[in-house]
Amino acid sequence: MRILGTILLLAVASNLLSQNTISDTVEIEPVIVNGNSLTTNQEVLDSSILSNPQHLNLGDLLSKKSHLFIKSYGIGSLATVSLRGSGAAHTQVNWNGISLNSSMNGSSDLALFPLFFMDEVSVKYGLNSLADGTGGIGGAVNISTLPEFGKQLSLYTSYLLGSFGQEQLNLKIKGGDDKFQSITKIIYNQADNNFEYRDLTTEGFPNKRVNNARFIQKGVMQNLFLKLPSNQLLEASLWLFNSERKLPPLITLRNNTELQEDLAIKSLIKYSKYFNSSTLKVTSAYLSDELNYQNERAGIVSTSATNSFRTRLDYEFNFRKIDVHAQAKYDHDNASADGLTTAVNQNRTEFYLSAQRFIIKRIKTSLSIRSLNIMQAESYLLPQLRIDYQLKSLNLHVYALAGKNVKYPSLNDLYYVPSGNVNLQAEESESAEIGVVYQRGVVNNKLLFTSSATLFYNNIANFIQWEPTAFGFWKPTNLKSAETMGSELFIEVNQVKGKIKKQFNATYSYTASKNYEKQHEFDESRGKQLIYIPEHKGNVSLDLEVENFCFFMNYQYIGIRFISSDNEELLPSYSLLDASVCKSLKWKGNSFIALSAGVKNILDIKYQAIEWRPMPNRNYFIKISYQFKK
Amino acid sequence: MKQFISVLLILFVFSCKSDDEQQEPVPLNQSMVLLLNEGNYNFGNASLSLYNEKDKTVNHKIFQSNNQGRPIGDVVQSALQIGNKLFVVVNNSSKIEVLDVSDLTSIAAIQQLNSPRYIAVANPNKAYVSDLYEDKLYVINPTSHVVLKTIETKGWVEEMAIASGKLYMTHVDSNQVWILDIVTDSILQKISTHKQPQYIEIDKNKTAWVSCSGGLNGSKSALYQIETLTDSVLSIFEGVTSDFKIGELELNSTRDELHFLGKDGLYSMNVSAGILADIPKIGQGNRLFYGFSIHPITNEIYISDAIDYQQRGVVYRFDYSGNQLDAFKVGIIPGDIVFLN
Repeated sequence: MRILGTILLLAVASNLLSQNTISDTVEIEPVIVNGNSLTTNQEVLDSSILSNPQHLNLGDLLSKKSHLFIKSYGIGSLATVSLRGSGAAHTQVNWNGISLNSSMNGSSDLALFPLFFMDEVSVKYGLNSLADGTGGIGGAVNISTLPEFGKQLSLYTSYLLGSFGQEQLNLKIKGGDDKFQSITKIIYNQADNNFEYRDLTTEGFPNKRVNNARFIQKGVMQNLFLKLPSNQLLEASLWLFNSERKLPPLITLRNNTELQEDLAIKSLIKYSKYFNSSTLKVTSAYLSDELNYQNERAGIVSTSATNSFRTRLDYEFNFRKIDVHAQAKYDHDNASADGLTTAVNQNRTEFYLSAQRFIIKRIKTSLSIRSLNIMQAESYLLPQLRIDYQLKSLNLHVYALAGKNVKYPSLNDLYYVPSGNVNLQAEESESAEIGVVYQRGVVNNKLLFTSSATLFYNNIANFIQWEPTAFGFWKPTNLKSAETMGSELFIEVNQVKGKIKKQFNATYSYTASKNYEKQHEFDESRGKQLIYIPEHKGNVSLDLEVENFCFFMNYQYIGIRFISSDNEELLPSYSLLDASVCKSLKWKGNSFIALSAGVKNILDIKYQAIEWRPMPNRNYFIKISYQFKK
Repeated sequence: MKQFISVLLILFVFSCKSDDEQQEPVPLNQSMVLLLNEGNYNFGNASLSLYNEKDKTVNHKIFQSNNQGRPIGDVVQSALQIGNKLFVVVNNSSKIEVLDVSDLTSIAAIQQLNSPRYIAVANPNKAYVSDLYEDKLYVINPTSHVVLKTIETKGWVEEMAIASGKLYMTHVDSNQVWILDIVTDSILQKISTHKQPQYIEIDKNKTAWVSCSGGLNGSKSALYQIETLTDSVLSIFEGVTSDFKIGELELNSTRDELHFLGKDGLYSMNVSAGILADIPKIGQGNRLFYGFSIHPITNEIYISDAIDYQQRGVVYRFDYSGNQLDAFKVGIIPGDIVFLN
């Protein structure tokens, strides 16, 4: 009870302070969410974190605030995610429960997801992602848009100016009452990205500027929320997004002019009905993505388009002290591209049933099973067992879970011309995980200490890999099996004393992601770390808020990453230190204005996240925000 | 706060590394074999390895070692020795590095190229460079290292060979062999082939052998035998099944036995055999044969194996009968092999 009291106290205080710094959304209670989330092994990042101008996009945020490793090709460039040592297609990105992963390549480009469109981001690690669907062998990133009921009209706008021609304009208009809410968001983001780097590939190692790296992003999101009688809620969202980006070449290339344009329409309708002891939710989405690629040097102009209809139904109820979650999903994907001779269609159905109950006091078990069926032809059954133990006297929560997951090949893997491989097998994983969470509140010091430690093991069979051949084309094959294992540590201290709020947060992850198959006697990849997966990753951040002043500092460490499968070649480790300050003022009546400024890569580290792709050196930004409420 | 700053400092100290590390230049001796490691496309990890036939040692990243730590670039496709210079075609870096054969230091780089693939030399002052994207053939001067002119090809040209005063080029996009007069640089004739002609060799009888991969949609591979005096097709040897792919071609030192990479390994056939070899001389087994060359003096066969395309590959050395003599590790995706003289 003392802990709960502390949590509530901190939550309310943090909420008040958030209002001072005019975050665009202030209703979320971050400390409460975080406290709850640890028991289900997910990290929840609320709007106060999302609105920090230090974070450029979803990939940038997750690289600092979670155990995820983001493989970024540069600011605004392709950013794919690796969770628990798995590949880019092994992490699901869900929007209000609907998968946004491309049916063509199976993965998501996090650089195309503006944080301003999100009210909450959570990361579910490993098997915990199975509650939302298959495919998340590494885990899942869940993006949510949330209602903000209240009789209020508000307007929020901000303008950010940064180094290398970065400009970001955000606008949010919210209106409605206790039953109806309309939230409109508009973004415009651009950068030249012409930062300086030392060219180690040219004689004399001259300093040069990155060329062909400019990007422009434009987007609109409209959310409508309507409360209906008898505890019913209807939500509708429309997300329009356009990105044009030049793809900077490797510094080993003399000239390369590549351009990529992405056009996305995401629309979603969700109906929720809250009964006395049960909940029914139905979500349907239509997703349309178009990608236009131009390579001037190669004379390539290609277009690919996907249209997806995805729907899910969730029913949660309690039956004789058993919490039951039943779910049904149906996805229809259609893809057409220059690389496909004809349009390709794929239908998937999934059924999920989960039952949880306390078998004895403080020990809770949950058993679930999910089925996946592809085109009424191939099917998979994925069981999962979880046990939770609550040791209240020591403020400890211990859990263990084990189960299976599957990632079905993407449409490119199967049908891409000339080398798609219809004989590919699905990647199947067997996973186990144990974890412990310690949480302690000290009421007098108004302090909440939270820590967690997790050990995980994952065996992925039939790893799909694209390989060149001696005959001039690339072909996907089920090449190897891989084992990933590791640990994740999390520590957070929150304190709210008077008008001072402090938060210290540290994460560390160790990931051993290895291949245990040997192709022949000269294959030296056996037992070696998979390429571009750092064994060590750590992050330390400090937030301070004193009345209407704030200070934020973040330190990130990425360990060495091997870039050859025999681990003979590697990229050195690097660490980045970022800091920012902000000051908010009440302006006229219900208007607030805030100024913030920050420095990224303060130590001016020269580093490459991908070999021969330089990353930005020290850079700066300033931001001004205005909020009006009526 | 002090502890926090301490943590930052410790992490910072441990994470700083110099990016100026350089290796000592490696001197060259006689009997050297240069292994061209293509590297992964768009990874910039191509390299050159040097194998010493006498003491059986290998020097890795020899270009980097002998050129102030500078990497060679992205996708080393082929190389040709012209006199005392080695012309290394770095495909995706759009250049040809011209190296001094005595120490493999860079003399010049020919940069005015798009996506160069192979070189064929007509005389000390004239060579042809094929290109993947440019729809042109470059004519370069190997002495002055300049591009003299370009010749319209309207498509991708791959390997080339010169015989009887003519340049024979595999024109992949049109499924033809184009024949060019190397004096006037005019197209003399176009010979239609099976899909995707890519490799070409000239045997002791001045007969051109052209391998066609057959493309990727189930078409059969084929081997064309073209008489270069009359430019008539003497024979067409078609793969028995569509998965019997015919890849890279090489001839032995007396140029009377043709070798090719195929479905199950390395095949060889006498140029007068009149029938396509269908039993490998050197079986591939679970290895991944990616490229090969035959020593012009000893007839030893060097075959490169890319293993998983993500680690340092291996080169096997066989005697001419196909008995393995040794094997040694090289760089990532070893392809072409050049015997320096």
